[in-house]
Amino acid sequence: MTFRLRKNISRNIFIIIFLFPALAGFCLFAVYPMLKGMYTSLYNWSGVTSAMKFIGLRNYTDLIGDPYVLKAFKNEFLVIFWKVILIILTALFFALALTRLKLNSREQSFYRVIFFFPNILSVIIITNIWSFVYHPTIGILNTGLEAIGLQRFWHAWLGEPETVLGALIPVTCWAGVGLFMIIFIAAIKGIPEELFESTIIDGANEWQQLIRIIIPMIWEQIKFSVITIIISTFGTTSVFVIAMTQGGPDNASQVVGSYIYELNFNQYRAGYATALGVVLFLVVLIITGITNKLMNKEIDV
Amino acid sequence: MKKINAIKVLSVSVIMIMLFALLSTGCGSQSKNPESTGSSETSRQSSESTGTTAPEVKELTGNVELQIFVGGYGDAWWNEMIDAFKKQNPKLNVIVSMGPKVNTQMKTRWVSDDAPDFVYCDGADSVTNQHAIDGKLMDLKDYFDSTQAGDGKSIREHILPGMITQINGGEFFAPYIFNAWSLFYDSKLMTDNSIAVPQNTDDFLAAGEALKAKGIALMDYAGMYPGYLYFGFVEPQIVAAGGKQLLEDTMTGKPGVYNSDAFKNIIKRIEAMAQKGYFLKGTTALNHTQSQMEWLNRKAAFIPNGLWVENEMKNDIPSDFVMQYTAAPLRAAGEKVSLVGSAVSMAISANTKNPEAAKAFLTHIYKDSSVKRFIEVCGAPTCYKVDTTGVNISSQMVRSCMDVLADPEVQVVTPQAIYLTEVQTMMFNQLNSIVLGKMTADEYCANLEKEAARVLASK
Repeated sequence: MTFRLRKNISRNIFIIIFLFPALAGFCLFAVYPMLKGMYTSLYNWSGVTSAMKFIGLRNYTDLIGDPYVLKAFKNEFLVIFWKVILIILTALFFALALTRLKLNSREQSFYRVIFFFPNILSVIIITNIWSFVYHPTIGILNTGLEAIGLQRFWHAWLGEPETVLGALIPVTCWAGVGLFMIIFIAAIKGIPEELFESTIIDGANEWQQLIRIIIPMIWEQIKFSVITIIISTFGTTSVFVIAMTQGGPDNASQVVGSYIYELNFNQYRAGYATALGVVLFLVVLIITGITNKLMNKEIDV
Repeated sequence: MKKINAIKVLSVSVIMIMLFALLSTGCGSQSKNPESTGSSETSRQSSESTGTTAPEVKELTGNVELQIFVGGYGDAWWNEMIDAFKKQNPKLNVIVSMGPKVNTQMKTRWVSDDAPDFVYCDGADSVTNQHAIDGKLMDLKDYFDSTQAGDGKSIREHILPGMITQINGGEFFAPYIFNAWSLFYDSKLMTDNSIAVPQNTDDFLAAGEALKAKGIALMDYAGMYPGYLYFGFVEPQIVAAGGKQLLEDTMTGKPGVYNSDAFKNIIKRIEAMAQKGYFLKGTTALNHTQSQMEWLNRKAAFIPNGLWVENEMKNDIPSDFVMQYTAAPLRAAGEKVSLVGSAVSMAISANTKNPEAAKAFLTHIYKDSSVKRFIEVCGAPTCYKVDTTGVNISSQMVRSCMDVLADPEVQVVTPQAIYLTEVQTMMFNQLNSIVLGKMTADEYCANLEKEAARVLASK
């Protein structure tokens, strides 16, 4: 009896030793800033000195009346919506092409590298490259359009409110597709070949294979991808916005993260910015929960 | 086999724990002040010292820490000043934090009331009015009055009038580098296209038409940072139209000022320029360096900017580009040429542990010789008046700027108010909408009235 107890204790200690670094890191870098943020959201604080004044929930009531917050959330949801669709479709397309199209292994690995490459670039490099692609006079997009005679499609892509979000979304997708393509490739490769063979005998074509076999079998991965895209977009889009447009022109590309950045570093309203951060956190929580519920599907094989 | 694996796993986890512990102490040790032990000595010594009026006979000891941003004006002059100061004060330990990112690195120290003693307020994340409002900067009012410059006069008497600003009755910034946003152009482009430099806003718009015929835009600006357009193009016109009072009213949100003719006409001019296509196509998408490159490549004739632009772009200026500074187009006919003078300043932390040394360094760079050296090395005008005969000013642009400043007909105004943050943000952002034709001048001004009223009501 005591031997088993001792074994359990030593095993638990063993487990705690392994968990401790990650748990401590998580508490220090994730939980503590969150709690501190909730604390400072109750204060009027400039963010640059220690002078803080307690104002209770005033920041939150101000948020409700702030038209820029609404605009930021609207833009955020637009970006998420299109990002989910574009990334899932593109990643699925690439994954299918690389697994179902009978390519030899050299071609497969070549395309895998090409499609995954943007993922390993740092965001600053990506924003720099694409800022030059979209440059109104020397950018490859505008000069390319002029070269093939499509001057009427000339736009200051990052400088016009109608085009700016449409220009930012492909950049974020380009940067993110690789990871999900790899996930889908692994998932598709995990589907047993017998399933395909049996349906081919029954006379199913490629399209039916896709709908009846592949998609249901990788549904868990699709669900995971959708949720990951939604959660990660809230954090990463703001980096692209800050680097490429600063939220402009006139807040046309402002998203919640970039507005928080602007409030904190340009307007010295750190208390207000953290209040918006808390609201963002709650919104992400709710949306993740809803998405999870909506995508729960029972799979009948 | 199993035993070996377990040892491997355990050793890896021990290494991980050690690494993690190292990282966390590494982050923590930055907050520990290596100079805190030194400064406790100086506080004992400096409390025995007398007033600030005596010139530098008293020996300075202890530590003094300088926060110096390195940007468009470089670090050559700073290194000269610091080396000379160290030689004059051999017993003083001068700790220098210098670099392009120093403000961000020092940010947490300012938040935790452990700031360096002396700070050069320039660059991103720099010390600003907000630090003064929060009470973290030393009031230099007595310093300006009582500290003697080399000729027996006080430092205050040497500083251009109006440059020392007041915040809540205190004077927290020691103005050093003079800046007045205005328009820059290439005189070679103007002469090549036989266009005279416009002398008022009507001429300016006419020049726009002439340039358009040659395929050159009248103006471009950093669309990503529309503040450039506001500071460099709108503000001088505000002062020309209504003087310091009008400018201060637009900063404090006085009801009705944005709908006033004086202000609205300026926005209407921008509206007209946009409608007539005088702005460089796509300018709203450009950042500051991109807009400056387009201007250097002669795609646009004028650009609103500050006096650092020559230094900032020095590697990209074409050899035949003759950069000039002008404020003449920024006033209606009959109004005075006007500039809004501002200063890049120095400041001393309110919690400094060695105020004597910090003030001594400030006095050191306010010496005539130091100021003249600055003009020579950095090519920018200063707020501290010196006799510039014999000072080697190599830049044509700086000389053209100093000519404008020396012109008695030009009014240089330094507002004593501070902008309402939200109103200023809207002022900047909406300019892009005007330039894109998405907003009218009436809407621009009406929105500002509403926003100012809202902000003032909520204070």
